[in-house]
Order: sequence, then structure tokens, then C-alpha cells
Amino acid sequence: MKKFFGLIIYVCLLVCFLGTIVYLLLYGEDDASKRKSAGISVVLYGTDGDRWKQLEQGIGQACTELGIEKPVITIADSPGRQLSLIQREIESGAKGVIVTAIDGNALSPYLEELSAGIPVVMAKDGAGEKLTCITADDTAMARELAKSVALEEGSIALLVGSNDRESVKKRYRAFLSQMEESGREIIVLEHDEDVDLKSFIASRLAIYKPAIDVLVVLDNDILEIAVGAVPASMTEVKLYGFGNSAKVVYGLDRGVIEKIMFQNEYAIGYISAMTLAARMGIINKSELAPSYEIQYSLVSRENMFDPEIERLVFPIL
Amino acid sequence: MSFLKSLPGKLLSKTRARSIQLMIAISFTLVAVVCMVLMGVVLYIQFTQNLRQTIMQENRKLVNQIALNINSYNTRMRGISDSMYYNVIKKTDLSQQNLSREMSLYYEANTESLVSIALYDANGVLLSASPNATPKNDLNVTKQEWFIRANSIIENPHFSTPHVQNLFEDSSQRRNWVISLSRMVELNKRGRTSRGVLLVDMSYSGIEMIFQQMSGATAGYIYLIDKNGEIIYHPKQKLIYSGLFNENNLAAAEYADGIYSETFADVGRQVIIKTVSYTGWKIVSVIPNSEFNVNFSQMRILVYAVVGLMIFLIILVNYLISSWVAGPIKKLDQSVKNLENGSLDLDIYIGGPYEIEHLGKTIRSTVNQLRKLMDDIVKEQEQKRKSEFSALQAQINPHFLYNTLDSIVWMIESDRYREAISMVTALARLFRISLSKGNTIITIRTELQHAMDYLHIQSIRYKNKFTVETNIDPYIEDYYTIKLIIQPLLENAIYHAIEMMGGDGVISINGYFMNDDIYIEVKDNGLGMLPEKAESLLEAEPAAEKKGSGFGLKNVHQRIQLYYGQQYGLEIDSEIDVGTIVRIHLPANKNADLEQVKEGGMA
Repeated sequence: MKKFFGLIIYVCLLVCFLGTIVYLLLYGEDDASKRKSAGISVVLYGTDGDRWKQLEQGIGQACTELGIEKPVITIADSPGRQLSLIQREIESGAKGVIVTAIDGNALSPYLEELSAGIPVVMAKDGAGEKLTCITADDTAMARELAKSVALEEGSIALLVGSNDRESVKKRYRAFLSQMEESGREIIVLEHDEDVDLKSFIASRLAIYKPAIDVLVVLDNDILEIAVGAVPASMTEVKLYGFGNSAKVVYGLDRGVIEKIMFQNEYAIGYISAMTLAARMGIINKSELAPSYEIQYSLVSRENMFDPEIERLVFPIL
Repeated sequence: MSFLKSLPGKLLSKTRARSIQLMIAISFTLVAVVCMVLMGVVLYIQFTQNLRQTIMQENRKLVNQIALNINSYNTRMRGISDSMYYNVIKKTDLSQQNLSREMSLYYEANTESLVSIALYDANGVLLSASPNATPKNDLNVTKQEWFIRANSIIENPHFSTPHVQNLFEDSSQRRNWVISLSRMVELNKRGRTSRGVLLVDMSYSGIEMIFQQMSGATAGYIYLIDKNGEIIYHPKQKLIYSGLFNENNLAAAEYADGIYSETFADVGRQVIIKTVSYTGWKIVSVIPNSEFNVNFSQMRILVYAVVGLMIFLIILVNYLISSWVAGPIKKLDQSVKNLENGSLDLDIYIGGPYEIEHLGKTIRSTVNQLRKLMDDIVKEQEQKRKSEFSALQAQINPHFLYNTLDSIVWMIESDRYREAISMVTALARLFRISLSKGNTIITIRTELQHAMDYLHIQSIRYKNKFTVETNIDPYIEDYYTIKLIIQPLLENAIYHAIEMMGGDGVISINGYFMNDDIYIEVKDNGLGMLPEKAESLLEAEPAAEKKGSGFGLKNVHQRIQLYYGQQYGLEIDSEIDVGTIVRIHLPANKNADLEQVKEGGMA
């Protein structure tokens, strides 16, 4: 009886052991397969995908390092459209989302609620204080731009378009503050949304009295339009602004833009993806850099081909 | 600490209580597992070393291959530059001919690798370019690095580090990353030579592609630096430019070709260096040590599975082996246990290996001997009981009792009360000592008292026909003997010697020590007998039929030997017409260790 009992114990242990091994071999997830199954979605704002090339490259680099599939980048030109895209991505199985909010105020309630369920990381443009936003220091960038603009002679105008994005709001406050500190007056040109922006810029530049000598734009999309509008205005206005797109860089190269404040969107993309990966448990939080500083630089036609600047401005494709 | 010290003892005491099969199984399993683990560790170390070596060899091969490809790529670019210079520029009078057509041919033939070919004069004025493009306004190429280097060392073509091409207007809003191959050339205008610079801008993606195509199949990553350590290609180039990743490229520039171990940013890693000929560029393969051990999870499970199965198998095999080894021992043990329980009749197991078989045979032989000894003991005890019974029976011989009582009656009738009382007293003591409360062992003093009482009764009966002489060493009286050994000798002396002789008989009783043994002699001066007759007395069966008590010398002799051993007993010396001496030989036994002697109220 004792012998029989021992045999039963032996067989049971053997079966348990073999079962565990078979299970681990068939269904055990190693790190690589766990990472492959991680779905990341990226929802950006705007209408032109090329504008986010550098951000996309940064996210792609992170995905390559992490061994996860590169996400499909989707863009939307309104808060409602962004919300529906985020919703669609989650329904399609996204386990983490990177968002650049077109309108922080409009999106923050939904994104905060969403972040309770799946990890959400804001890139470049945040949505409220509760959600982590990976971006360069907009305030510092705006102040540096303002200091440079303040050195120009003549009248200075600030073209204000949509102020719904958090980054633009910060820049606006910091720019005005710095200009005030510099003792320079600013003409604020507020764009009426009913009027075509390019026409608005051209007409304002042409008719404004006294003539505008320096025009400052705090947003890439408006700066792109200004690049077309300024030559059309037939004025000698110097254009300053925030920009990252190839179109803006081209404008700078052609001499249409005097200087641009260029931030490292590649780094923003990379750090956003890594932060999201840490939130999703793909990597340990300890693997993230404890702190980071997104590079930015005031780029002019003169320095844009300096080795350090060209590495920042021109993507290696 | 004390627990640890006592642990081996506790384990030992626990294992002692276990069966031999369990101990064999556990010890075999432990030894096998320890050996397996040791072997596993050794194999694992060997395996990882081999794997490491293989990875290093693979990477080295790859680095060599990339070096070949880069070299081939550069050679091709240099070939374009050389060919353009020696076959076209040198042979062309620029005042009369345009180079556009020939330049376009070279460009078209290498369009995948080239971004542009351009020729500048010493002032940086564009003379010809392919593809056709408009030079940028206000551009001063003489300040660009490729132009400066071409003019610094004029004999050789120079390769630049990657940079954005800044030469032409480009409506595509795109700027190309290029590696510039520039050289100083001699320009011919109407027979007069002047300096110029030929620029071949190689597509950076060509270099990038070489690495990307080959790096996927290897551990770690591979990058390319120039001889100053400036990065030309790195899979994390943008991260490095963004300050999010650091590379040890400046240190790598100092390394000669070979393999190095280094620690950078707290990460131990292996580095392979290969220099590309002509350019002095270095291909650097970096394998972080952690990468040697990645992706082993499936293999680890497989190893655990194999080790686990081996352990199960070892347990099973060890159980069977221990069962095979311990089986005969257990059977033998069961036989011995049965023996312990008193089952002497059970058969002892004989079988298994030689040693166990031999042990079984020995135990069986021992048990047989034990059985024989026990049988002998039983027989001996039986004989003792018979002898004692015979001795006791002899004491209450009716003939003796009748004669004695008759003598007492006669004495009373003759008013010889004192003698009658003496005889009755002697008779009573005779029987009391004979019984001795059931004890077999009594002191020699008591035995002598018994003998004297008997002689006293017989001397009255035989009307003092014999006299008694005693010479007893008083020291022997405290020693012990079995009872009723002297009286039969006296009876024999009276009936077979004194009764038949004519004159006065003398019976002597002597007791003494000799050679640490005790001797008691009963001597008579009767007729004596032949020595053969004397010898036969001790061998013959007790002669109950003979005259006298019917209780023979043989009985006394046997009883002494049964109790004390064969070396003790009676010896008879007899001589015709001289007399007979019967000598009792006893051990000097002062402790009643054969039986507990209780003399009680005996005098």
C-alpha cells in the first residue's frame, strides 16, 4: 500500500512537471513576444503628415530599440476628430497612446479618464496638468526668441492664430513678458478665423500703419502660411517664428524667414515612446533617464549648416 | 549557529532510522544530482564561452565584410573621381568645352550612389555640375570644409564626415545628407592651368544601407567613425546628436584593429575594431556583455525540462537499483526479525549478491548450531532433572527407611532412648538437607553434615562395625557444591566394602584444596576391585537393581559433570585387598551462581 502510494505521488509530480514545461514552451511569453504584442498608437494634430517627420522618426527609433512594431501615425485637425481617432485606436487594440493635443482644454477631461485605463503620454502639446507631457521648455524658447526679436529695429507684430494649444499659450505669455522686459512694444495681430490666414497676413503686412518690420509667429502651421504670405505682401518684413517642418526650414534657407526657434521633435518622439513603454511595463521605469532636456535652438540662415544645428534641423532619412 | 552544528547529527540520526533502500536511493540521487549540477555548470560555462566566441567570430566576419563593402564603395567613388579627373577634366579645355555631358554620364551611371558631381574653380565658382542645378545665392563654397581640405593636401582625394549638402537651390524642400569626396584638380583653359576642386557628393544613404543590410544579423551594433573619431554612421546617430545616447567613439579612434573589452557608461562590452584602408575610417562593432545572454528563455525552459526529467529518471532508476540491492538484505533482515521473534524453525533467506548469500548461509549455520545447542540444553536439563529425581528418590529408599526406623524401634524397646533420639534427629536432618527447600546447590559444610548424619545412622545399624575418620580442610566448607554427592559414595563404601569384610572397617572422608580445585575423598579399607571394574562404574547406567540404595556412582559423576563441566566428576582408585578411594573433583565455587542458594534455617 505504501509502495503504491509512493508510486502515485511520483507519477503525479512527473505529470505536473511535464505539464508545466509543455505550458511554458507553448504559451510562455518571452520578452520579445511580449513586446511584439504591445500596440502603440499615435494621434497628432494638423493636416500634413510630413510636418511630424522628426517626431515619427524618434518614435520609430524607440520602437526599434524596444522590439515593438512601429505605430501608424494618425492626424486630426480638430479636437472632436482627435477624440474619435483615439477611440478608434483603442477599439483596435491599442494598449498605449501618444497624443499631441490640438486643444488641451477640450481633450483633457477625456484623456484623463482614458489614462485611468490605458497609459497615455502627451507629446509636445499637453492637456492639463495631470497628464505627463514630453516637450521642450516653451517658456524658455519663447523668451529666447523674444530676446532675439527685441534686437531688431522697427515695429514688431505678433501674429496670433489659434491659442487652443497649451504650447502656444505658454509661448504667447512668455514672449509678451520678455518683450515687455525688453521695453519693446508689440502689435498683436489677431487672426479672424473667417478670413483666409494667408490673405490676412498679406493684407495686414501691406496696409498696417506704421509698417510692420518684424512679424513673429508662435506656431509652425501659421509660420508655414506666413512663409507664403510674406513674399506676397511685397514688404521687407522680417519673419521670426517657431517651426519644425521642412517647409519652414526651406523658408529659412531661402531667406524668407529670419530665424526660427527649432525644437528637437525627434527627441520628443523618442522620449514619449520610451515613457509610454515604461508605463505599459515593456521596460522598467529605471531604464528611463531620470531627467531629460529637449534641445532647442534659434536657427538662422547663417548657422543652419553648422554641424550641431544641421544635425538638429535636417532629418537623416 | 548551534542548530547548524547539530544539523549533521540530526540528519545522521534520522537516516539511521531509515531503511537501507531509502538510504541508498537518497545517497545515489544526491550524488547523481550533485554530479549533474556540476556537469551542468561546467557545460553551461563551456557553452556560454563557445557562444561568446561564436558571436565574436560572427561579428568579426561581419565587420570584415562591412569593411570590404565600405572599401569597395569608397574605391568606386574614388574611381569616379579619378576617372572624371584624369579622363575628362585633364583632357578638356574649359575655355572651349563644357563638361556637362561627360559629368552627366558619370552621374547617370552611378545615380544610386551619387547626389551630385560638381567642379569649382579656385574661387569657388561653379564650373559644371550634374545633375544640373542652380547654385545658391550668396553661397561661398570656399568656406566649406570639403573645399578647404581639398586645397590643404592637394595630392589626395578627401572624404568628409556626413553633412547636409549646401550647394544648390532645391525646390523639393529637402536637403541631402552626403559624404563629400573632394580633390584638387588642374583646370586647363587655353593651355593655362589653374586650380580647381572636383566634388563628388556621395549619398549618405549608400553608407547607411551597407550597415543596415548587414547589422541586422548580428548581436550588438556596428558603427563607423573617421580617423578622428567623428561618427560617420551610427544606428543611434540621431539619439547621439540629440544628447540621448553616448558613444565611446573618441576612445575607439585610438584603438588599433582587434578585439577589446571596455566599460562605457557602466556597461561592460566587447569591441571589435577594423580600419578601412585609404580613408582610415574605423568600423566599430559593440557587443554589450548582456547581449550574450539574451533570448535564452526558451532554451532555459528546455534546460530546466531536461534537468527535471533527468532528476525524475534518476529517482526512478535509483529506486529500482536500491530495491535490487536492498531486496535480499531486506529479506535476510526479515528472516532475522522472525528469528528474533523466536521462530527458530523458519528458513533463513539465502540469495542475492555473494556477500548477502554468504551472510545468509552463516546465519543459517549459526541458527542450526543454536538449534542444536538448545536441543542439547533441553536434553541436559532433562537429564539433570532425572538425576536429581533419582538422587531424591534414593534418599527416601524404603529399604533404608525401614531399616532405620526398625533400628529406632529396637532402641526404644531396649530403653536406649538417648541413642534413639540421636538417630531420629540424624534421620530428620538427613531428609531436611536432602530436600534443602528445593535448592540444588548447598555448602560443602552442609553436604558434609548430611554425610555425617548418614554415617551416624548406618554406624548404629551396623553396630559400629566401622569407624569414621574425617580430615576436612575447614576452608573448603564455605564453598558450594551440588547436594547429595558424598552420601552415595558412603553408601557404596558401606554396602560394597565394609559389609563384606571380616574385620573392622574404616571409612575416611578427606577434603582439601589442590590446584585451586576442591577434592573430597571417600576412602575405605574394604576388598577393593580391579581397575577395569572401577572404570566401568562411572560408565555403566545407574544400577538401580544393585544392592544398596540403587543409586550409583555414575549418577553422582554425571550430575557433577552436568553442572560443572566435563573436567570435573569422580575418580576411582581401587586396589584389591587394600581398599577403594572415590575422589570428588569440584570447582572452588564460592558464589552460588548456578542457582541462588538459600540455606534458610539449615545448620
